Parts: sequence; structure tokens; C-alpha cells
Amino acid sequence: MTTSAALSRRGFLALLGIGVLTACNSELAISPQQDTRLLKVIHEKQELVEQANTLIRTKPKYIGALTVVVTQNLVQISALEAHLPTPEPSQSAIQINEIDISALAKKCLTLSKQHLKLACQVSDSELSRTLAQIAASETQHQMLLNESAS
Amino acid sequence: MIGFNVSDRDSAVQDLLASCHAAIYAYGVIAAYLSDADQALDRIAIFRNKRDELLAWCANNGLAPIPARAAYQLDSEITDDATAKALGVLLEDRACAHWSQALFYLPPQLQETESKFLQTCAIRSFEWSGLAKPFFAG
Repeated sequence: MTTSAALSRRGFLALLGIGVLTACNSELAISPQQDTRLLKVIHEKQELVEQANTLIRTKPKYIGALTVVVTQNLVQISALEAHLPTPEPSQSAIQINEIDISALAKKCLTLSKQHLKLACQVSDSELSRTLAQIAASETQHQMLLNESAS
Repeated sequence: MIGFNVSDRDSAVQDLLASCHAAIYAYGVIAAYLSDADQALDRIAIFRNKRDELLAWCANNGLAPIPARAAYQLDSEITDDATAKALGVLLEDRACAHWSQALFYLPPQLQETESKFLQTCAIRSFEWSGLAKPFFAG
């Protein structure tokens, strides 16, 4: 069964009790526009997780680096969801385009640049800090995946 | 190693400047223990350049820059090449935390350059450790 190698979001959260992380941040006032942009970031990261999970199934030789990327993106998604005024509805099936590990690395860098830009635009200092930290991490994910591919 | 209460533009710039001062000092110690001192000396040059950029910004904006201290308490003991590299990781991770916090308060002309510098801190952390992290402790 190919799905056993991949990390499901729900499985991971249950495993690590990440709910604790999301429960710590409930007093943030976020504008509807900011809310929409944050949801977009979350969805982009969910798509990246799905693409990485697909790669784990099809290219198991990259499982080490890909598992790190999946795990850390799930932690980051949880941290971002804590900034939403209402919990994000359960994730429906995401249509993804399969990409190779080099393209996934490039996508991490693209997301890093986008999230740094967003960190400079949002009106909440704590969300800005979270986005900037995530962007720095995404730079490292790009390096990790490139190193794994070479 | 350093601490600055960041709440506005000036305190954000001062915090980054203080981070540069501390990094320059720490990399000087790291260089003494690394088998390849050039790795640390290159990074000293990077933080000196950043310090000089921030000092220039302070001068242009009427802000009295925080001076460097004579010495800084290091976050971990250095005894050899491995512990020197470990401190290099810690130092760059702290820089990631400080730059992440500062971006929100910086003026637009600094946000772009400091966003890029934040990425280079993350890259240097990875170069030291080979590890990626989801978040960085300040």
C-alpha cells in the first residue's frame, strides 16, 4: 500500500499533539483581506505537502528530505491556522500537479519570497514574524531538497 | 547573548545592529576554533557589511546607533571544531529570529534588503548544520 509511506496531515497532528500549538493564539484581530491571504498561504502549503507526499510514494529514495519538508510544513500550517479567527474547515481533496524534486525545491523558494513579501504587508506583528520565520525555513527546504536531488 | 525590546522602527533597527555586533564578536571566537577559519571570517565580513549598511541608515535618519560591547556572553561553550560549528548554527538561527521579528517594523526601503538578508541567515544556518528547521528561537 503506497499510502503508508506518506504522512497524512491528520495522522501527523494526532501523533504529535500539535493541537496544543494551535490553542495558544486566540486573541488576534485579523482583517478579512488578511484572512483571505492567510488562507491562500495555508492552501499553497497544503498543496506542497501533497506534492511531497506523492513524491515520497513515487521516489522513495528522497524519503528523508521529503519527510522533513512534509513534517515541518505541517507544523507551519498549524501555526498559521492559529492566526485564523475561525478554524480552517477540514481539508478537502486537493487536486495537485505531480512535480519532480527539483521543481518542488524551486517551489519552496518561490513560496519563501512570497511569504517574505506578505510578512512585510500584514497588519499584525506576530503574524508577520510567523510568516518571516516560515519563509526562512522554506529557504532551507529548498537547499535540503536540492542537496537530496544532487 | 543580546536582547532588545522591539516595538517600533528605531528599536527594530537597533536590534538588528546589536545582532550584527554580537555576531561579529561570536564569529571571531568561532574562527579561532574552526579547522577552516575562512568559513568564519567570510561570515564576519557579511555581518560587518550588514552592520555598516545599518550604521549608514542610522546616520541618514538621525538615529544614534547602539555601540558594540567589549565582549558578549556566548550561548554555548566552544572547545573544538564541532562546538564552533554548533555555535555558528545557533548564531544564524538567532539572526533568523531577530530579522523575522524586525521586518514588520522596518520602513519599506529596508524591508526588501532585510528580507533577503533573513534568507541568507537561513542558508548559513543550513550550511553549518545540514538541517532545516520549521521555526527559529530568538
